[in-house]
Amino acid sequence: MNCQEVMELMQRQLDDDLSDAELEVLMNHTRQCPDCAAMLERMKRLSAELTALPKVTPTYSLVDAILPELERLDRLASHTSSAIESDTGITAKAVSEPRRMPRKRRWATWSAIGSVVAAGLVAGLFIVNDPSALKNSLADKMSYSMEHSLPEVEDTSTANLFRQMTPTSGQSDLETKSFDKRTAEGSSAGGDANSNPEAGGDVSIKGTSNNSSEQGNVTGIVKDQYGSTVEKPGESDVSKEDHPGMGITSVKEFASPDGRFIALLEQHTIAIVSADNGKTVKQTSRKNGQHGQVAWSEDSSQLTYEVQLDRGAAEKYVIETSNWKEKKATH
Amino acid sequence: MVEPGLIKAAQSGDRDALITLLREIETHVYRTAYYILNNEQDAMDASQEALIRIYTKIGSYEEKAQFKTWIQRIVTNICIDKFRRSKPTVSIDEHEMVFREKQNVEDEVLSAYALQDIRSAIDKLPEHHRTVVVLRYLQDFSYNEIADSLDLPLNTVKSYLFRARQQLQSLLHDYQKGGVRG
Repeated sequence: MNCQEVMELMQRQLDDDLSDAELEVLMNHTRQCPDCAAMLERMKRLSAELTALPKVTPTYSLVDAILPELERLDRLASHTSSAIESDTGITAKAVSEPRRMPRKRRWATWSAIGSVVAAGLVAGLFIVNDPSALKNSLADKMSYSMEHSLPEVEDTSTANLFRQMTPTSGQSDLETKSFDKRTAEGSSAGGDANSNPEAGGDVSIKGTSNNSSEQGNVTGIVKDQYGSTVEKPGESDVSKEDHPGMGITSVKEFASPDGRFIALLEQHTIAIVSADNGKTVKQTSRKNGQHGQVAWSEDSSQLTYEVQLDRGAAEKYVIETSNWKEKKATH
Repeated sequence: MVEPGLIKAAQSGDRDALITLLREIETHVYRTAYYILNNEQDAMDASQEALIRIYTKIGSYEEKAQFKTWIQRIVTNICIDKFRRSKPTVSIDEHEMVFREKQNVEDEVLSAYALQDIRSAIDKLPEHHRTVVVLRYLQDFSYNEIADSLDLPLNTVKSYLFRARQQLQSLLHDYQKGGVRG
């Protein structure tokens, strides 16, 4: 047996995977081969060090931190599943899981009303737009496999649908508003201090940003894009109360004025997706620092954003939509 | 580690059971994310994402898989996605690196490797190799459990683990020699 073959035995020995006979072979070899004996010692030491790596624990309860998001998903789930089941019947099996049933009961008081409105809205949208395209995109979103989809994908897709369609479907405009209101009511009825009043199906997962004025802006922009009329004075004050450490990966959306693109703000990067098919057309390179001040030019030809660096410095970047080139801007 | 009864209750729609279950697994989820991503904030983000996904997908868990491998599959997938997004692709040193430093072993001082060195060596491993090491040593998984978690053939798991350990060993050996000289 050569040293190369012995190496495999050494490795397996570290995982207690050797039979007595194999162990015997290994020991016989190392007795005669000082190199392998030394290597075995080093591998054993490495393995011991790896076993002794600190058993780190999170600094705060992760479950507590996601509770508001879970409540939001619950509300959204009862909307989407009932809307889809009643309207299209497609892919509904994929999303309706057993545990949804008691959830519906929990929210039955208002979700019944809400889902009727939602179903009506979805039905309206399907009539206004090319139904096959819509079904496809919906099916795509829903069939995202567990391994590849963010948990929010299903939900934002619904939000996207609503937002995308609202401007084109005049007659359902009114319904959208009442839908929004109900959602907002639902969230306060949930009795959850951390959930945002505007959070029903819209963007706003709060990030870890300490920059509350920026968050205020974001809320404002988002509301403009939605064209929603649910005005809540002092709403940005609510955002400020969010615990900075409570955030999960924050994603914020900025639709271009012409409605063709949506910029998705993530922690260290910005993705621009096509509003038509959800495909990513541009992903900025990762930059260290809090991203913010995302803004489209009026003619939708440029997207600008800033990256907050250490010690209060900031870099400004401009992306041209004509060629998706990104460059650093002078202030 | 998680009571089968609790999993059943969570699957049948008992929200409190589901939350309790998440609380029981959050440290395991975090630990994996922490060592794969080598960054506390990224690990927090990734594990929250994983817990949310477990919350929404609990209905799709089937008993034929072990629950612990099911959750590790979710968290490692998220981490590998994140890892790919945030790091330029690491070129994988697939070729032979066996017994590169057979010589000089005798004058090696058998002192403990600095923790920092181990962390930085792990950070140098390609994503799958690193993930295999994390599951083996931080979750104490067997070859088979790692294979189930990562959906890889058993032989691939072994080859990743063996190669990873060899690479770690040689990296740490280099660090140590560098330390002695400098």
